[in-house]
Amino acid sequence: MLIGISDLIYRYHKNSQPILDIPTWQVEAGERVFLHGPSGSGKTTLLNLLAGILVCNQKHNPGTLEVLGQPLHRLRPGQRDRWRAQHIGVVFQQFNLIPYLNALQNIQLGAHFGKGKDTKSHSHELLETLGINASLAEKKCSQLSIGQQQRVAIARSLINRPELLIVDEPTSALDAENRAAFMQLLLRQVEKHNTTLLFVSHDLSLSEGMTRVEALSDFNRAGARQ
Amino acid sequence: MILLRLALASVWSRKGSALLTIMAIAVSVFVLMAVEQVRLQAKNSFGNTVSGIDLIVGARTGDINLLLYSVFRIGHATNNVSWQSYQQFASNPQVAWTIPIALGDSHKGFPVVGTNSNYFTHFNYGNKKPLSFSQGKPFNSTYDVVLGSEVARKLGYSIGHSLELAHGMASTSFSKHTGSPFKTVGILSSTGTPVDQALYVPLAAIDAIHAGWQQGAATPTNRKPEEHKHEHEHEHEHEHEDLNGDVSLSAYMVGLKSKLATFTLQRTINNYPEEPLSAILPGVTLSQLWQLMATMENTLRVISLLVLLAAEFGLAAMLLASIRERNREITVLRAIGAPPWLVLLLIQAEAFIITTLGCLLGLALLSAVLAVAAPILADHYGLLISANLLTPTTVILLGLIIASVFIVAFIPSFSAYRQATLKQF
Repeated sequence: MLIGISDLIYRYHKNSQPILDIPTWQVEAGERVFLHGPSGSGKTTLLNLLAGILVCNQKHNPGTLEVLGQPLHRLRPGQRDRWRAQHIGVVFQQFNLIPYLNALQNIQLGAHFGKGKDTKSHSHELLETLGINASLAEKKCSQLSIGQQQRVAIARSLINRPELLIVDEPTSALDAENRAAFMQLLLRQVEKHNTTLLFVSHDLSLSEGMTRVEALSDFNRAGARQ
Repeated sequence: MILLRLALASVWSRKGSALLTIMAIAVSVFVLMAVEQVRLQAKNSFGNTVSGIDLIVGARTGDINLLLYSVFRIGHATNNVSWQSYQQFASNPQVAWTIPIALGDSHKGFPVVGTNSNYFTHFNYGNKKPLSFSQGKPFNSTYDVVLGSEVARKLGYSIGHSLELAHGMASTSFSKHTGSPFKTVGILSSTGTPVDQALYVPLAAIDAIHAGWQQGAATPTNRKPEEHKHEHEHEHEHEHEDLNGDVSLSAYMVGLKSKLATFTLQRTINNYPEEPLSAILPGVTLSQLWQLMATMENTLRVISLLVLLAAEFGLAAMLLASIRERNREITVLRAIGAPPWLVLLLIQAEAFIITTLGCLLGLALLSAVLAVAAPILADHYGLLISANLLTPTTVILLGLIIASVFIVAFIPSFSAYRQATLKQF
């Protein structure tokens, strides 16, 4: 079991309505989960919890959230940051990269925090399979097209060979053609590295190739109440 | 180190605003260092003007006034010291030597000092450095003159040049000691002190050129110069013993056989019943004089520190503004596992880079300006500025600048830290 959630309640302020109330939810290793739901339904909150950016402190936000068998609230903040670097890859909608570094430097920065080994050859290999040639890799990321940036973002997110890849609306800034190409590359990489994928989007047409499609409201009671 | 590389790339990506901030820091460092440098050098030049002299004696006056006219040749003696009292103290058993100083004449605006050969052997400057001759030798006969290095350089005089003295200090004095041609016999080496700015003649010459003058003007019965030139030429062996009683001194400097006698002799001179006299310790009075300048010195320092502070706040403002636009960057850094303190250090590193570059630019600017200005300052003010900027004081100052930037940069870097801790995807 890669993600295990039970009796999780999360609220941002101690007197506010919970945004997440998940009795139980699990993801097995190797699954490719497509998670959809309207904005404001708590998708992003869940992703932040899974990546260890947010934590459920046990006082107001009880429950267990384990990723890779690790209850995240048990880690100290610094440990959580290191853990995230090593085990979780993240790709956002847009602006995934440090604009003043080039593609290669962005990937190396990711590798630095993950303390990964043989990342040099791995980063070249990743860039190559994602169609970023050497001259593009030397360009400042702010000079790349959004499609190119998103491909570099996949490479960066996979550099430390994470067990879980979290992808949040990664194609919303892309046109149809680029979107299809992006999905193809993403799924191929995930399959190749046997990475568990959590793909969040409201665009159900992107769910092709996923092993499981779920609405957050299916297992989040807080969302259902809204 | 990854942090420094990241910070460098970040600063480079903001070249425009970074460069302006670097320039602001550079200008403030320039001002601060320039003030410090000039202060230090002026103090050194100042403290270097006289050494190896135990007492300076003049007619009763303020200590600083006596020092100013006897050493710096600024201002005038209000009264003269009589030859008799000079003779009396010069022959005091505690006294090793004396240097008489008779002022009041000039040549083209440069003061003329009537003295004896002790001036060249006993007057020291800097750290007990004696005077030396770059050309020629000390005066030997009455109408010999020795030039300070600056006098020789500016007027273009060399050994053998003949010149006339003028009564009073104005460069276009109306009462010239015409017909008393002096011959240049020596030129002193440069000292960077008022010594360079004067001409030196034997006391006998002062006596001779004023012979027949009364109340500051030539009387019609002025003797022919040729006559008394002759008279004195065979008298030069024993200059001052032979002077008639008319010669009075502006001041005299005293070297003692034992330093222990300094205060006793000072008291004796100050309490001399026959004539109101003042005796000062040059070192003590120099520091009193410097104290007078302390207020201005401190004002300059405060102003330059405020300029620096303004530049540092400018730096903080520039970085703080950049944090706003780096919202996403911070999210990305967090997502790939950067802890919040690393974001804080990143901003601090950027502040450090900008400050360091600013300091380097400021110092480079200052060296360039000093290289150009040093000869001019030396020319006009006799202020010798060494081009060496890396004195212990400046190194400490640079350290303080960087430390203060570290504190000021906490404004933007802590803001970035807070953003990093609160940041979500």
